[in-house]
Amino acid sequence: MDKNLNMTGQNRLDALLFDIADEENMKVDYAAMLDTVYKKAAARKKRTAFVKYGSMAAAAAIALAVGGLWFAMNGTAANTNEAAPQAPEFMCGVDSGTADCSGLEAAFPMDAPKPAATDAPAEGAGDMSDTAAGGDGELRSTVMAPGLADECGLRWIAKDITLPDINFGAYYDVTKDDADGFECIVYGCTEADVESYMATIATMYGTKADGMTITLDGGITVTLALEGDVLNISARG
Amino acid sequence: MARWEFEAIYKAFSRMVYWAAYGVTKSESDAGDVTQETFIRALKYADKLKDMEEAQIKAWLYRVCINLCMDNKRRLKREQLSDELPETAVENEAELPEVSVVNAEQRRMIRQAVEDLPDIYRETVMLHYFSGLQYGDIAAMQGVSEGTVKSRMARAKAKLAKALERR
Repeated sequence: MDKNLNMTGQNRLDALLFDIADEENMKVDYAAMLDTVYKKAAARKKRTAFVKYGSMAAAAAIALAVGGLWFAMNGTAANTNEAAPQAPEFMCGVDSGTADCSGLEAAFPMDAPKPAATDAPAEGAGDMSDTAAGGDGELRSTVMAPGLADECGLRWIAKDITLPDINFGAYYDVTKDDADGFECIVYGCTEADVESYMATIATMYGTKADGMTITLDGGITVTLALEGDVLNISARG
Repeated sequence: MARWEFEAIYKAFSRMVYWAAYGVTKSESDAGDVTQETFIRALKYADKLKDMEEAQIKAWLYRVCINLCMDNKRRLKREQLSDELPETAVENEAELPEVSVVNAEQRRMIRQAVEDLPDIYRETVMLHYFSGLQYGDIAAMQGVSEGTVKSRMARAKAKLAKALERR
């Protein structure tokens, strides 16, 4: 009898909590949040494009100034009977047209319009320049994680599983290592670090990754998740 | 990823993300911010998410959400739990009226009791009742066994029942 009363009490508490949860959930404006997601994502893409192409334009301006100075100091006799050099490859300071001066052409095109925001990287291929930490996405830290010897690797002790050592990022923390799972957080990573690390795991175990997840021998599943510049390495199985 | 695909993911998981964030931050505005930021990240990695199974997407979103909460709070505390057996839950049926007769004040009291739960219990309650996740999903995302989730839920409900009896 007591057990039945307990079950009924539990059911009522469950029903009450679900009901309250539904009521609270009705107050959340998910549509407005989605709208904000799109707006913020679009704003960040524009900012990324501005920073990226602005940097290229600044670099081109510096190269132009240096090239102009060089010609002023060295090129007077050769240029007296010719028109001023126009082609980007000449501005690069080489004789042939085979040098890759696409950066200059992009910044100072002869006929084409200036690069627009639509030239920004596609979604999902982001360069991390809008990370929470404010990094510009171009820096790659090569600092070895503290306390990690070259040959140790990362080890899930409970299941005797070894992962490649962490030789990227600023530092790392192993936050879980027991029979239920393994988790490690690496700070200061880039997308390239993560892709490289996944490729290393795949090579180590002779298996193919499925996106950011890879299944090792014995049914162990390793997942890499990058948010901003923080990488979560988790293993289950 | 097409817009409709992303919106399907948003529709499927926004509730889970929001209440998971609320469970940690205990703030509607912070939970909203974290939810938005989580799905902004999802937009950014849409190409990768497109190839993932639903369970993987769910786990990825949850992990991003929790990490963003950690950034907001600077540190996430998780209470260490013992292996003691779950306490007996509600014994006196009369203390819990039917849902239909619970008034606004009583609902507010229950809501407050949930807010006052210790962190790990509150998060578990939020994920189950508010985010709508099953115990198995919660266990997978929190990296614990289903038994641990059930144990935490039993303790949470026992605490809620006791808190309601006192008021």
